[in-house]
Parts: sequence; C-alpha cells; structure tokens
Amino acid sequence: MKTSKKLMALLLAAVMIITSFAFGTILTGAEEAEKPYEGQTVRVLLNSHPWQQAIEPMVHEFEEATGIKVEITVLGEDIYWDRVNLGLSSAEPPFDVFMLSPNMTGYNGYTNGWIANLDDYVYQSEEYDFDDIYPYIVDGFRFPDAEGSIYGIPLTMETYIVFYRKDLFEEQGIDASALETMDDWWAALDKIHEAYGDEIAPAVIRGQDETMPDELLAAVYNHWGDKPYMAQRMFYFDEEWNTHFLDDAVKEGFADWAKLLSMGPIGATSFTWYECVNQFAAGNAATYWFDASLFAGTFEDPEQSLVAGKVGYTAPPKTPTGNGTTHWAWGLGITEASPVKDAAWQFVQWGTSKDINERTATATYGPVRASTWAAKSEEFGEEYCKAVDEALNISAPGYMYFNGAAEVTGRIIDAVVRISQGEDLDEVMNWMDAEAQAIVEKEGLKGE
Amino acid sequence: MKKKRRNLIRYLLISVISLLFAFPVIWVFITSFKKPIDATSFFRFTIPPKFDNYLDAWLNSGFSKAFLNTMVISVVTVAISLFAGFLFAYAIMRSPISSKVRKFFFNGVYSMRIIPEMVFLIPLFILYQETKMYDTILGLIFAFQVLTLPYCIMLLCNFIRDIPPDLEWAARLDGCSEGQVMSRVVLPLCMPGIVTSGILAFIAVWTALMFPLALAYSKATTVAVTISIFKGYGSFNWPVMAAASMIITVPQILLFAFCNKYLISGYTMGAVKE
Amino acid sequence: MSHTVNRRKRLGYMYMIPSLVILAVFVIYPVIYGAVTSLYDWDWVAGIDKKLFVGLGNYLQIFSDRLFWNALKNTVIFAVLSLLAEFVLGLCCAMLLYKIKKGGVIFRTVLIFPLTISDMVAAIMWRMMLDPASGVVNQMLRSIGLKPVDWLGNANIVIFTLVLVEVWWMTGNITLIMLAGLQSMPIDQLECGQIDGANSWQRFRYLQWPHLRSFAESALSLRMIDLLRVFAIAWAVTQGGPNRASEVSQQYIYTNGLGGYLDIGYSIAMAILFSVFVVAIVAVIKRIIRIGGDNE
Repeated sequence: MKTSKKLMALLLAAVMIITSFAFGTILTGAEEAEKPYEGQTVRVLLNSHPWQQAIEPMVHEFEEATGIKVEITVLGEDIYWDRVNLGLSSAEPPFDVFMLSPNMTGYNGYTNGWIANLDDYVYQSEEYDFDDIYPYIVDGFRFPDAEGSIYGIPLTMETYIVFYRKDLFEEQGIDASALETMDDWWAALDKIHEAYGDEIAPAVIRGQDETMPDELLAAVYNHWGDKPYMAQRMFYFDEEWNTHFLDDAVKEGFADWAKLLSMGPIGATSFTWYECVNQFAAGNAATYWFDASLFAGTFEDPEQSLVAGKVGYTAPPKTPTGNGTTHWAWGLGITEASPVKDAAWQFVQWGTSKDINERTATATYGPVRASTWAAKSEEFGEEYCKAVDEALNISAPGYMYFNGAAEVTGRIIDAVVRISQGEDLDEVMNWMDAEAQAIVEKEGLKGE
Repeated sequence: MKKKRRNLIRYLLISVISLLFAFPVIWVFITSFKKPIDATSFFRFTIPPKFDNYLDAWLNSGFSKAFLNTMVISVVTVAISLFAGFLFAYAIMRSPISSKVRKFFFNGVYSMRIIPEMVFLIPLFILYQETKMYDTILGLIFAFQVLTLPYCIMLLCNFIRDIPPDLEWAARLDGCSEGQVMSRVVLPLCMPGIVTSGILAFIAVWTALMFPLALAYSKATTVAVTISIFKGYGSFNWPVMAAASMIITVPQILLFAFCNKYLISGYTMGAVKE
Repeated sequence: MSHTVNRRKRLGYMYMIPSLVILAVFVIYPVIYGAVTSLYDWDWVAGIDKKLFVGLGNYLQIFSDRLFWNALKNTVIFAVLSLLAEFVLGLCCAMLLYKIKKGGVIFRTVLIFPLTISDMVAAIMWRMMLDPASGVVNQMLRSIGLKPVDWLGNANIVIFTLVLVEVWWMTGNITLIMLAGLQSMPIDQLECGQIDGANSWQRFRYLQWPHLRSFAESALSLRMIDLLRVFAIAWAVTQGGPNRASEVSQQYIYTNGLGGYLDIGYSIAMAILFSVFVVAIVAVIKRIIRIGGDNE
C-alpha cells in the first residue's frame, strides 16, 4: 500500500514534468518565431558621429520589427572614451551596446573581461552574411591580436587621406594631380598662403584632440618605409619596450604634423576634429590633412557644408623615406555583464546589416561591406574612391594599445603642440622619449 | 553742477559695465533663435526666428529626462538638507552644550566646506557600486548632501543667532514644551533664512557638475552633465546649444523674478558672518 | 533647573542625529576610506582585483610628477589673478551702485545674474563666444580694427581666458558683499568727512575702508576656496590645453582617476594632498589680509 502510493506520486510528478516541458516548448517555440526578445530594453551608448546621426532616425524600425526597446545615449568624442572606460569598469555597466574601437578602451575591455566575445553570434544568421564585411577590418576587432576572437563588429571604416579645395588650387594654377611628394605639397601650401593670406588658411589639422595621436600614426608611417614594427605598440616601442621617439621617421612625422598645425586658422592648436571639419566645411581652409576619409560625407552634404562639390581627395604624398597611411574603424561591442546579451546582439546585427550599412553610407562614406562599396561607389564619385583605394593600398591598421597608452598619447599631444608653437624639435623629442620611458617603467612593462 | 556731472559719469560707467556683463546672456538668447549658418556672425539674424532650436534641444537624447531628474534631485536634496540642517543648527546655537563642543561642531562643519569635491568622488563611486546606488537618483540626493548640508547649517546658524533668545524664554514661561518652542517660535522667525538657504542650495545642486559626472551615467544624469555632452554635437550646432543653455537657466530666471530679495541676502550672507 | 538643562542638552543631541548620520556616511566615511585607499597601488586598467599596499609610495610619486605641480601652479595663478580682478571690479561696482539713486535695482540684477548660472553653462557660452575663428568676441575685435586673439590655442593667453570667464561669472558675489558693507556704514561718518573737505580717495581710505575691511576679508577667503576648486571652466573651455598651459588641479586629478586613466590609488592620494594645499593657501590668504590691515 505504502509503495503504491509512492509510485503514484512519482508517476504523477513525471506526467506533470513531461506536460510542462511539452507546453513549454510549444509556447516558447511560438514566441521565437515572432519576437523572442519583445519587451526587453537595450541601452546603447553612441559617440557623436556621422554614423550616429544617420542611424538614430532609423532605430524605430528596429524597435517595431523586434519589439525591443532601444535607449540611446550620445556623447561627444572628447569625453566619450573616458565615459566608456568608467562604464565598463562598473559592476553593472550602464549600457549594453556601445561604439567600440580597437584602441586602449577595447584592449582594456578585453584584458579585464568587460566586453563580450562575439564568435558564437556572427554566423547565427545566413542572411546577415558576416563574410561580406571586409575581413581585414574585422581582424582589427580581434583580441589580443588578429588571430584572436571577435569582440566588435565594424560599422564604419576610415583611412587617413588629404582633402583639398579643387577650386582654390585651380584658381592658383596648381595642378593637384601633379603634386607627388610632400615637398611639392609644401610648395603648393606656400603659394596658397601667399594668395589668400589670413582669409583662408593653407591647412587645417587636429590639435588638442584626445584622439589626434591615432591620426598622427599616419603621418609617421608616411616616413617609416619598410622597417618592421610591432603591431600594437606601433612605431614607438619595440619588443623590449625600448622607446623610439628619436627615430628619424617618428621625428619627421611629428614635424610634419606640427608644421601643418602652425599653418592652421587662428586657434588651430585647440581644434578637435569637430572644429577641423567645421572650418573646412565653412571654407576657411584650403587643405585638411591626414584625417578620416568618412568626413567626405559631411563635406559633400550641402546642408552642412559650403564646399560641397569643390573638394578633391588624395592619398598622402610620398616622402623621401616612405609613403603610407593608416586606417581605423568603429564597431559595435556588447558588454560582458549585460543582462540582455541576445537582444543586444539583435541590435548589433541590425546596425551592421547590409541594409543599414548601405543606408548609412551616404552619411559616412566609409561602409565596411564589400556589397555596399559596390552599390555606392558611383555615388561617392570616382575621385574619392580612387583616393581611398590608393590610401588603403599603402595603409596599415593604426591601433595602439598597451597599459599606459593613455598617458603616452597625452604626452604625444603635448609634444606636437610644443613643436608647432616653435619649440626645438630635437629638444621636445628628447623630452618625449624620456617621458615614454618613464611611463612604461611605471607600468612595469619593461623587463617583463 | 559738478555734482550733476559726477552723477552722469557714474551712470555712464555702470551702464558700460552692465552692458558688458549682460552681453553674453543677450548673445546666447539671440543665438538660440538662429540657423547654424547665421550663428557665427553677430549681425546676421535668422528671420523668422527659429523656435525649433528649443524643441531640438529638449528632444535631444536624454535632455528632457535630465531636466526632470535634476528637478527631483534638487528639490529632495534641499528638503533633506533643510530638515536636518535646521535641527542641527538649532541644536548647536541654542542647546545648553558647552562652548567647546559648540565650537567643535561649528568648525567641523565649516571645514567640510573647504574640502574639494574630488576627495569624495572615488570613495563614493566605490561605495555606490557596492550598494547599487550608482546611477540612481537617491544616490545623487545623498551625495549632494556633502555640498548642501554644511552650507545650509552655516547659513541657518547665522539666522538663528539673530533671533532674540528672550522670545524663546517667554514662550517657555507661557508653558510651551521644547518642541513647541522650536516649531512655533524659532521656525516661523527663521523662515526667511530657510527660504534663502533653500534657494541657494537649490542653485548649488542645479548647477553642480562633478558628482553627477562621476556618480551617475544615463539613468540619473543631470542637466549640467547633459549640456557638457552637447559639446561635440554643438560644435556643429551652436543655436541648439544656446537653446539648451537657456532652458537650463530657466529656474534661475524665475528665482530672480520672484525671489530677488532672498537671493541677494543669501549671497551677501554667505560671506559676511563666519 | 539642572534637570531641565540636562533634558534640553539631550534633546539638542537628538536634533543633531539626522545631520550627523548623513555627514558620517557621506563625508567622514569617504574621507577615511580615501585616506586608506591612497596607500594602495590600485590601477583599474591593470586589473581591478590587483590592489597592492605601497604605504606612502603614491605620495612620493607625486613629488616627481611634473604635471601635478604644473596643474597646481596653473590653479594658483588662475585663482590669484581672478581674485584680484574680481575684487577690484567688484568693489568699483559696489561703490557705483551705492551712490546711484535711481535704477540701482536693475543694474544690480544685471551684475549679479551670472552668479546663478551653472559654471558649465558659463563655460559653454564662452567657449562659443571665444572661438578664435568664428566667435563673436574676435569678430567684434576685427570690426573695430583690432587683431583677433587666439583665446584657446595660445599657451600664454589661455590662463587669462579662464580668468575672463571666471570674472564674468563670479564678480557679482564680491559686489554684493561689498555693497552690503557700504550700506551698513553709519551715515554721519560719511557726512562728517564731506564737511572736512577730504578728497574722495582720502574719504575712501580713512573712513570707508576700515569699515569695509572685515567684509573684504570674508569675501576674499570665501572666493579663494571656490577659485582653487575650479574645474568645469577649464575642463569645458580649454580642456587644459594647449600643452597643459591651462590644466588645473581638480582636472588633472580627475583625468588620472575616474575621468580617464582609472589609476585610483594615485588619484586619491593627489586629491588628499591637494586638499591640504587648499587649506594652507586659504590660511595664507587670510593671514595676508590681516597683516595688510594691521599695518595701518
């Protein structure tokens, strides 16, 4: 009697478990077919950027299609990275998806386990066609190096090129296509300066901008030639963490940058890319050096620019010792601690999909998908595409990250500004070298 | 004759100085109605004025939320500071404690005003991470007590000091309890002080930057942080920045219009008596 | 009687409880926690779990940190220049307002309105107006035939740019306090001076100033405390540049801590050392004003 009661109870339990399983699968199965993440909220942190301005009005489409609510916060780039760092280091990061780059922030996020590994997500959907995104750009988002796992999905790419005003060059009888070397360009800039005086500055380039050292890598690489260097330490440190700021190519790169900075409009030393773009778009500068190809999107938009249709593009000109530039990319990453990772991936997948990549391309001029370039190259114009192609041919990824990179880049800005204000190049570079040495020693890198 | 000329010079001087002081506000006001292209020139006006800038600023990501957040945070912060501060000030000014103890508390509170906020940021950040107070309105309300509570105590002490103790003794003789002496005699007489320190503490919270910058992120952001975020965007769009600046300053304009007297006595008093 | 005294004493301590609890948790605890943490090498970038006791190591490191001293130097220069400018201008405004009979309220309102504006808003307004290329200030200079000034990019000028913003923002405070001082003067003293035929400088020096001195003293020390804590204006107008010519202490400390490098132990150590400096500098300022007074 006693045993049969027990048996009955067991049977009953088994039946209940089985039915609940069955019902469960049916229910969830039905849900999955429609909107599996309905009602979840994804918090997205974006940098104030042409891509962000293009995507924001489209977000409601995603919300309607998936039932996921998207909360967007936008920050200016001058505080963006600091805020991302702070947020990532929080026990509960205040965002799920954020704009990521393979820089110090990305690397910190990787080493501390703050950002999510996306390897398992990228091939979930066939329609997404992950391989359509240029693999060499995706590689930048692998940590710890190009062989590692994927931690971010690219959304725009930029290579550093030279922008110039075709109309002004024509007016002065300068044939820009004949300018081959850096010296040719210096002569042309002098001519421009003579012709326009204080009215139009010969050049504009980033000054006191936290991210300027990223672009400076292009100017240095332009002198570097074929010498080897370490990927994440770029030209400044070797395997043993010896500093190389006294290398001639590094010095020349810094000197070029400083000289261009001194040719800028009044106040140029204080310019971030926001001011540079503004000045060039307002027609206050004849050239804009070593900056992101994607600003073409702003310059060719008559709503935002007075120089639409008058801008020429070219890859950086040769120097006696080399010719090169760098490229960079923005991507979307997901925080490791996010409570809604799967919904967050839905957003990332949507934001980097073929459809969105194509629709934001007019604003960014820097899509990351082969299919988008094919569809859009006509709109971008022959000259622009040629310049970007040429630049990419001589380009290396410009990502610098190691502990202490933030301090080093801070000193690099100081050094460039000092040179531009007339201080002696050798003296400043000696100081720079000593500072960098002290920082890697402080971080305990040397002698590892 | 000489006196008249002298008067004229005085008026001339003060007018010039006032104009210089008013100019930035006038400039921002005018700019807030322009198109971006006209913003870089003082003499180019947008006709008809572009009122949309205000709407753009208000709708820009998170601004309206931050405005309401800041309102709630300011009001509750001030209420707590006034409640706790009044009790504290009354106790150290009127309770028969030894003058040594009184001096100890008084100096302690005064020195809290000197410490730079920077000292509190990281410890509070860590404390808030552990207690889940990070990025919450409640967390900011208590963090702001660091600024407003010592401030309110100092101001209220000054006001209570000026109330003649005889009035309190008279009330006691009439049979009032201690609680009644405080709430029926001192509190009403101290009302101007409470309004004054309330207004000043409100402005202090409304305008504070560092605590919300470090202790809030997106849910509990305040206007001072939000406007700093406009920076990148604003380099492209000055008029919207100007409009946002005007919106943020609305509470101060209202206070000037309706509580001028308290504002002035507050700013004067903060320094005159220590 | 002593019974009631004791009761009132107890009641008094009870009234203090809410404030004491708040201050203990949110003021005293953070200071102690900070002091302890400043003895650790704790760099979140290197790993949030690595916390290493280094004793006074962080403080020793500060002494060789050129940038910390540079920021402190900038802060002190900024504070002293602003204090002088605000005091002179504020005193002049107060004297003018005191003498004016009609329309004083309007002028006074205009002069003190900036006081209530958020420093961040003040900074952003001026950042736009001082923009070297397209700002209204340089435009005005050009239109009267002067050369435009590089307000944000010239290392020799940027500190004065910050002073300009600060003076616009806070002079009203000194104006108000000095005005209160003037208004609290017994009138017969002034009239007596007029009859004696003393000129206006003598009247100011021997009749008004002795009375105003205590007002000036508290106004100056109060302003000094706030000036040394400058953050938003430098952070938003010049971002410390160029080449750190306008980087101020709180900004540098913030950059090393939560606002950038996340070098937590070191940042707290700097914050604590900086607080010590603030207290010392304010004490010195008070002393200077006192000595200035005693010399009469």
